[in-house]
Amino acid sequence: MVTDIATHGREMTRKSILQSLFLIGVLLTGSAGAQTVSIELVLPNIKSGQYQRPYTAVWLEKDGERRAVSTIAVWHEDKKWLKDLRRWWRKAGRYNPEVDGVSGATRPAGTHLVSWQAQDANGKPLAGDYLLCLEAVREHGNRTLLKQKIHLGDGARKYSLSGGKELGLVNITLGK
Amino acid sequence: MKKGFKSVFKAAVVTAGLLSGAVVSTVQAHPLWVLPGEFNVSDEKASWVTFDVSASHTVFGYDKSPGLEQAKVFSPDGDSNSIRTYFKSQRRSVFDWQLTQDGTYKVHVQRPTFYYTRYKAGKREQDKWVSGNKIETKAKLPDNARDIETMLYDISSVAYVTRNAPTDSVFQPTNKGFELVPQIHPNDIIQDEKVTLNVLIDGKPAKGAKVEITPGGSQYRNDRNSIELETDESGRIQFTPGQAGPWLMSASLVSPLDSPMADTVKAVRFLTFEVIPN
Repeated sequence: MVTDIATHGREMTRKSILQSLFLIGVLLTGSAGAQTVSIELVLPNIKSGQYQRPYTAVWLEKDGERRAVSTIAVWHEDKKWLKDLRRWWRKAGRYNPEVDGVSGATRPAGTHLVSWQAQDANGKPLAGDYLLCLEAVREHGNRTLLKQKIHLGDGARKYSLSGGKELGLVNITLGK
Repeated sequence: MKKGFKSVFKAAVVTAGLLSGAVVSTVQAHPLWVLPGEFNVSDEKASWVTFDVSASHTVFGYDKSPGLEQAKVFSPDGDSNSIRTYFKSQRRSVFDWQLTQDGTYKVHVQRPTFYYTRYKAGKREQDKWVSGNKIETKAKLPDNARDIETMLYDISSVAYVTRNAPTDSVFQPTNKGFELVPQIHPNDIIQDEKVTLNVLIDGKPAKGAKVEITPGGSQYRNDRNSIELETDESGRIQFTPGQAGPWLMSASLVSPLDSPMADTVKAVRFLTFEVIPN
């Protein structure tokens, strides 16, 4: 239930991204009844002779719970280095590193869109306060961990995060 | 190795004697530590982890290389193995271990136990020390020796490493002797989050155990930055590590011993753990 649209550089405008997202959202929410969470994230263009694409994870936590509620996306290569996504590895990855339809190859610099239906493993829509986490770590580079408290199941909302070294701007949009 | 440690002890005893006009309460042993290259590993395949072992007063500074003939690795499935090959250099001992299972492993390094006898002689109040158990030291002590107490030293050091999801089979207490029982998984310790351990003597809460917890890299700062604690009746210790990186914990307890060889036993347990940045 995850869809993502990667754009390289500025090929797609934000408007067209949102339009596609809207369509996807309609298609997905129509049947599931769960809220659509759209995460637009930027992997910064880093000029470095030793540049390798970052390992990146997006997941949802519930306050006070040691284990993550759900992994939303994880982009990686060799599993040997999955542990370097330190928080994701501890909260989710080590229990289930291969999440169907969620894990994929590392992505290039640019804007990426991840869309997710806010439901639990049994397909029940999630409601209440959660913590949306994003983590990116790059070989010979840095690690950036971003956290945003979000309120699910209570109408449309938007959140913006200013990012860090390995993750640029993040826009989180909750559907109706 | 025995010889190495002995000379270290002699040196320590002499220094203590020179520096302190008052009572020297214990023999100063070099803290014994095991430092894995990685504490948490993600791999579907069997993966190798490297370990340094040394005994030093700076935390994770190399000083004296212990023998590892008595070292053991406990696997998540309950298996235990001796370390087959290791490299004993002058300042540290090194081995690698292959994690073939998912879960948490324990590496346990035990020093051969040894005895020291403390006494006073004549009118002087100063403590004197001689190595050896009660029987051995009888002949060594002067005729005017008094306040004689022999202590058995039981020193071991532990580190835990985990491949993929953690398990807790390796820190179930044996309920024999002096034990540290983690209540938060030792591979899950997070900066600024509370850590709890239970300290047991023969399966019961150990009161009066002295605990010192120090972040690594003490040679690169002026303050040792140790957290010092003493257990109460609950035998429980709690602390919150404020910085990420490897830390060394030591816990010690002196208990009476019913033996012809010694009056008391001093058990010292070292635990190396990683604090994960939050």
